[in-house]
Amino acid sequence: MIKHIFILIWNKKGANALLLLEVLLAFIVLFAVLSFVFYNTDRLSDPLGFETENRKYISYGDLDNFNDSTRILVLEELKRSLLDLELVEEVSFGNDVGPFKSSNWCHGNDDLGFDISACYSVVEYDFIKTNGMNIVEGRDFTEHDLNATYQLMIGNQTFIEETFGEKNMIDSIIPFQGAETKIIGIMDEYKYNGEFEESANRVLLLSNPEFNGYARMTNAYLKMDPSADVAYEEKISYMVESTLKTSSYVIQDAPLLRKRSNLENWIPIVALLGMCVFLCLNVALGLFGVLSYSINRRKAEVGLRRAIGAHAGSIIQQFTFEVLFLAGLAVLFGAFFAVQIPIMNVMDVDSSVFYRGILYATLIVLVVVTICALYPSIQASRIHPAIALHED
Amino acid sequence: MISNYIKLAIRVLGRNKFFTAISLFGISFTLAILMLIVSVMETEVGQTPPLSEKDKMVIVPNLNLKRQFYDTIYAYDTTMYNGAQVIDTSFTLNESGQNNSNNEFAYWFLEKHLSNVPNAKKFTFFNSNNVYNSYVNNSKVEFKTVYSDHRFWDLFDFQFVEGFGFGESAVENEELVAVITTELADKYFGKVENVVGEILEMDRKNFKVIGVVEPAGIMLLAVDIIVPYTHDNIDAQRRNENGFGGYMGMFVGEKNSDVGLIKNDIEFINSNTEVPAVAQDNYDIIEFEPFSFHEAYAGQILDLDDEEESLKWMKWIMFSLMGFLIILPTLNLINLNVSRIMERSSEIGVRKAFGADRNTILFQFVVENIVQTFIGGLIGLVMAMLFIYIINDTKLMGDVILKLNYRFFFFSLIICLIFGLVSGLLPAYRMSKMHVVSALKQNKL
Repeated sequence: MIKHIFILIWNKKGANALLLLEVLLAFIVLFAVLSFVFYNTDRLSDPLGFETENRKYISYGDLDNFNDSTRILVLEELKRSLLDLELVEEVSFGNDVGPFKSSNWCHGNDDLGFDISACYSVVEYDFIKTNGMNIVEGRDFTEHDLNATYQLMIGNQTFIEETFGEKNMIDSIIPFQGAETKIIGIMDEYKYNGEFEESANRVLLLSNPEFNGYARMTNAYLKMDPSADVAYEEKISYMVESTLKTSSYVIQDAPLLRKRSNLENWIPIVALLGMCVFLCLNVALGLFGVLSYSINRRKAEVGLRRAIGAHAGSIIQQFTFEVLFLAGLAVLFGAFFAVQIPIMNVMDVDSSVFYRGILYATLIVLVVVTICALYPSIQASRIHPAIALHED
Repeated sequence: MISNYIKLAIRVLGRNKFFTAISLFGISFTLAILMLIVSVMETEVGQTPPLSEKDKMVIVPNLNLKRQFYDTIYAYDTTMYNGAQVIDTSFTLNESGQNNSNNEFAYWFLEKHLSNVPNAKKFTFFNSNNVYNSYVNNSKVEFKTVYSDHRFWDLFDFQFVEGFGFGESAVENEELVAVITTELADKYFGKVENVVGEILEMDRKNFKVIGVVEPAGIMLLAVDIIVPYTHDNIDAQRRNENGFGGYMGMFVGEKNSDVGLIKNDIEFINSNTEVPAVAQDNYDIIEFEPFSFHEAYAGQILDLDDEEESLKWMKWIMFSLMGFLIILPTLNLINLNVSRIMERSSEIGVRKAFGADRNTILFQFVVENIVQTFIGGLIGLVMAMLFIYIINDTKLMGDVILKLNYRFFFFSLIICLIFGLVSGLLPAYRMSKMHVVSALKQNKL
């Protein structure tokens, strides 16, 4: 039986080769797109590490209209007057590296004989509280830490685990960015470039002129009362302008920034998925057309088989098996090439992404092909033998 | 003859509605998506105002100051060997670290070193890093501000709705003049017409609007308002002695081939430029690399280490994306057409019996397929325009405004033609090859 089916497939090798190629290409496209989607969405399950609800960010740049000593006083004044506002709950400062700023400052050294590297933000002591970040071990910065003999650091879990393994690192002293640095706490995560960012080594350094005076506090982070609206932002804007004596600053809504950053990542994903759906639909419809046409043309064959006692079920089985065999062959081909990507480590990406891509692409192709084959086969099986044979 | 083929093609389309619908669905969607891609490419890298001279353009985006440290690293590796501890020492000389500062230029630096590039016909220096807020009628208006010199208006051919750009004297005399986009005019003044002469407050200064332009609508030049650079009150951006600021340089040559010459000029200037005196304590290498527009664009999107590499990758990605987008529907159409040959067998048989040769038949079926593709293309065009409208309306691509111009229609036409030819040739060849006798034997009309 199966041998006969193979002969039938072989007899129409020209048309079948085209069909095979089409399914193969569809599989490759599906595999590529699904892998891309998995790669991106996998990272969504990691926490962002900070809250954006009711937060506002003000960036005012280097404030070159003041000299080094007055700049600090002006910022202190800004903080006081902002906190005096009724609907402002917390205010903290940070350098150019922060939530959705799309800038990175990184440092690496191997002074201890192994690699210590991380991207860092330099922040004020109340940064963690203002941005609603989570300390999982150790402690937060405090106001008194400014007098510390070391540069103080809070690292994220990825940094601690990748660099030091399972060891308890709280209160250890490591070299970092040219200063003796004490790790005082561990935060769960700090994906400041947005939710789609891969979890990487991130640390916070407490701003201290003695160790990191080069990092100017160019941004203010505000936690607002939920009832503050746009009109209220104008009040803040007025306050900033009159204190900093410049109007070159930007006030941004954190939830909006987050939405925008997410949108930037979702657009290609949705566009690619949309194209994929269209391609699948296109292939499915084409396949359906081709199959219903070719199965229709084999009425005589069906009639004959029915006349000598073949079941309707076995007719359906024959046609679907034929098509599924072709599709299976195409998928096998495709999977053979696709599986090389994780095996040869072509890309520096978790290999499970590709295996899942292959799995889901296979499933989708086979389901679509089965559906496309089933309907014309069922129609063919309903043909009355007498009528079918009469036609020829 | 061709008009007969076209008539016939349209008749055939009406004959089997189900198959026609399937084919047209595939064709129109494919072409719509391709047209959308063409529109994005046209807008972002095509020669459209205000950047009609993209192909002759060289961009120098930033200044890079470096110092490289070399260091010997010893690695001690202790292992137990035959019960005794063995120390294995190795050392490598490598780049242990570098001081690296990378930012845009201070205005003085560009003016001093890059205002005499021999092969550049036009050039401009501008700063597009500033955003200001203003609160109008209880809502926030954000200004993306460009500080530029007067040459900005020569290099970019912004389309003026009214008024004009500022000249050299306005820049030197620090006149409070501004050119704004229709978009900002609408947001700030609530009107698009008769805006010239109105006063707009920004950065605690009252600027008089002297011109209104259509928004540029591309990523590289997202701007709402353009004012003379002498108003850039963040003094450091203009005069910072270490050369860093917020400005970049753009150069345009006489013809496309000048791009290479300008790049050479700038590289030559770079090799003869010393690190600014105040920065010499920390840095000893100075670099400012020139890029063609397309390299700069690819670099911005892909952000690889090297702009040229980015451009190469982007081309590959675009080609493979378009390739897959075309190949699948084409194969689909071929499959469909090939399996339907028999429908037309009696017709082919009769025509052949009356002396039509293979090429005539081939030609007829290719024409037929092209007619079908064009009908699909027309539907696709409508869909593409709908997509473009939706994308522009919802600002899905941020500041990018997709454009429709004659080049877009021209490219769409070519895409349709290629698609029709490619998907029609194989089935038409099969049909033309059909033997007269066997064709006539299939006697179902």
